[in-house]
Amino acid sequence: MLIDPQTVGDQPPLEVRRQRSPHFWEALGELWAHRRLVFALTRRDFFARYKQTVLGLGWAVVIPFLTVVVFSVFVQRFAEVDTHGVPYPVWSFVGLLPWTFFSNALSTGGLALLSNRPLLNKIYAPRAIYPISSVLLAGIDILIACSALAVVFVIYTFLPSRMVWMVPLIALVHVMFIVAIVLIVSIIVVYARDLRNALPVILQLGLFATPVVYPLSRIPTDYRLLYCALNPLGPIIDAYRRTILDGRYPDWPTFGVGAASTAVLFVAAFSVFARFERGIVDTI
Amino acid sequence: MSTPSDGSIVVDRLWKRFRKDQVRPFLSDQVRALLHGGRGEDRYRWVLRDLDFSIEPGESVAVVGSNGAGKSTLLKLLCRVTYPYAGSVSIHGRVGAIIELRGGMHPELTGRENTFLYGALLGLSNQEIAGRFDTIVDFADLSSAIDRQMKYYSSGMQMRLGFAIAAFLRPHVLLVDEVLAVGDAWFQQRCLDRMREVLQEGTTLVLVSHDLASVEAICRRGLWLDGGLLVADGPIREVLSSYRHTVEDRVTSSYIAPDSVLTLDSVDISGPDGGMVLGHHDLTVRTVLTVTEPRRGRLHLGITEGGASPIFLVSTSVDLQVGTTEIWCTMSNVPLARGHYSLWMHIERGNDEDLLPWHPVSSFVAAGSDLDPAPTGVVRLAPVHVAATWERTHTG
Repeated sequence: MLIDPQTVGDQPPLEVRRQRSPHFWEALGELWAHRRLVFALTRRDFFARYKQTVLGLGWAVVIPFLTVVVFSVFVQRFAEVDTHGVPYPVWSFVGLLPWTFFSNALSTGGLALLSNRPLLNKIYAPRAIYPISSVLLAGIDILIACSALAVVFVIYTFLPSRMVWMVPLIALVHVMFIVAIVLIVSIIVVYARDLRNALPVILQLGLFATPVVYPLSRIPTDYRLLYCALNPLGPIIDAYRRTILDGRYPDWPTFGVGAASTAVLFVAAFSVFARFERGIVDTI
Repeated sequence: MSTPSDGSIVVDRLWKRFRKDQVRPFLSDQVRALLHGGRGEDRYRWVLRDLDFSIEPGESVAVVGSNGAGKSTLLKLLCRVTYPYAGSVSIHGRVGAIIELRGGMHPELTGRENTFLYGALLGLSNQEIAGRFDTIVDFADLSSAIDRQMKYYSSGMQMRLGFAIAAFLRPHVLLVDEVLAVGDAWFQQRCLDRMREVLQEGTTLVLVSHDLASVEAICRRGLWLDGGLLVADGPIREVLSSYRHTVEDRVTSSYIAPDSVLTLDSVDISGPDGGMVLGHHDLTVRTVLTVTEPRRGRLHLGITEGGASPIFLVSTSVDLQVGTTEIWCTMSNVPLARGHYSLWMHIERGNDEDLLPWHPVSSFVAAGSDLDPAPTGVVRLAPVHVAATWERTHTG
């Protein structure tokens, strides 16, 4: 019954030390197996947000409409860009929505591991569900905000083009990009909280570094492909505008580079996350 | 090993370490460490070293040990909340863990919403939770408050709900950390009852607790961790008995007589005819002490299982004159079962002033009969042995 502790060494022997982290497909499969948890967390955050508010769920609709008002009243004054004849508020709103999706997802998802610490500490689940549920929540907000986009279309009596059917493809790349960035940021924040303090500033810079209020064509042609590889949001927003507003196909070279870069980033993000998630609970 | 079935746990050469400095070093510290070449392994300390054991389905296992021995870390490794540095943990079947009952509930959501959220996190579908919802609410005694926001719950209500959800999850393995320490007596009793039921359903139970009496009532097997090492693994009574005696050793060795007026010269314990102590026979304690000033006071003698709480105690008033006094005490027909015991002593002077504080003065082994086993989940307050005769008549 009693065990002699003298036989235990000071260090684990090498043969038991090897610990392997899951590969990309394993990580993705594990995540899929726990998809119900993502929905449960998203539900929690969605409803918790509107508790004890007078408007309740009304807020989800009010915010986008207030944004429309702001847009119609103020933004029109800066309409000095070539929009191919599209009213500037419509044009910039179509750019702003994808950016807001990214920005909202990153500002909550980047901190998702920190804010869910009580759960991380007691329940096993792939840690990726926490940042990803933030992305899902931001996505729901954007879908609701699309109703505001419809109102903007009505106000300016503008009809989306027949090329709208391309939107799901663009959205897929868009979501993959957001998930990748949010995963990477959330894991870095655990190990170096510095990033949490820097995040708001980085997002502000990002708004100017991304063609939201100006077109992608403002980026010099010499650097444009390199730019698209570094910031896939540029070609993504450009593709939304071309398909929804101009009735054109996406600009394949730039969009292709952006999509390829996103795919690489997506795989890398899951691998990095799987590699570092093992230490989260001991560090957080 | 044969093929593992649901509810089995295999821990294979498990090592776990933590950083000594829980705070991440600043960049400036790291630069300094780099310049001095001091990037060594000494920044870590081992929390668990080379644990190696396996648990069969349906076993009830208690993990005991002093604070910081690594018990909670082991539990967190078992439920995969944290990962090993070396070695492996494998569990087959669904795992339910009760660690920090209140953490993880969202304060803005109602009890009902939290129940569904928490159940989902533990791996239940909405239908499964709905099927158990009434049982959970009943058990937690929250039927009138279930639609109230969690932040308006008392801490007791939150704990009850947390326990109820996890306990009705029907996992293959249930891990419980220090639940019995919280909650009122009524709730503790319900927890014990529920754990007994869970065991009857065939669930494997791993329990971490400092409440040794409850541990003994529920678990059949004990694991004793000391400084991150597994030092004992066996039947619960034997493990607890060894554990209690190291606790006592620690207390004895740290004792220093605070009063120079009184010196305790010797304490001898003997059984019938000066021999070994035997249950249901007389036990004699001979105490020799010296005082340098006359003192009146009250002498207490208690028999314990190693800790400070006696199974029983006796006392008498003493009138000590300058010089050496010998005090004989005979306890008749001591109801002790076979085992290790300690003798604790206390001499008080009145006005809450101690001549000799309550501390262990000797230990002894008693021979005699073993205690009859108690039903699972029944806490025996004191291991008192009572001889019983049984008669049986049968009609029909």
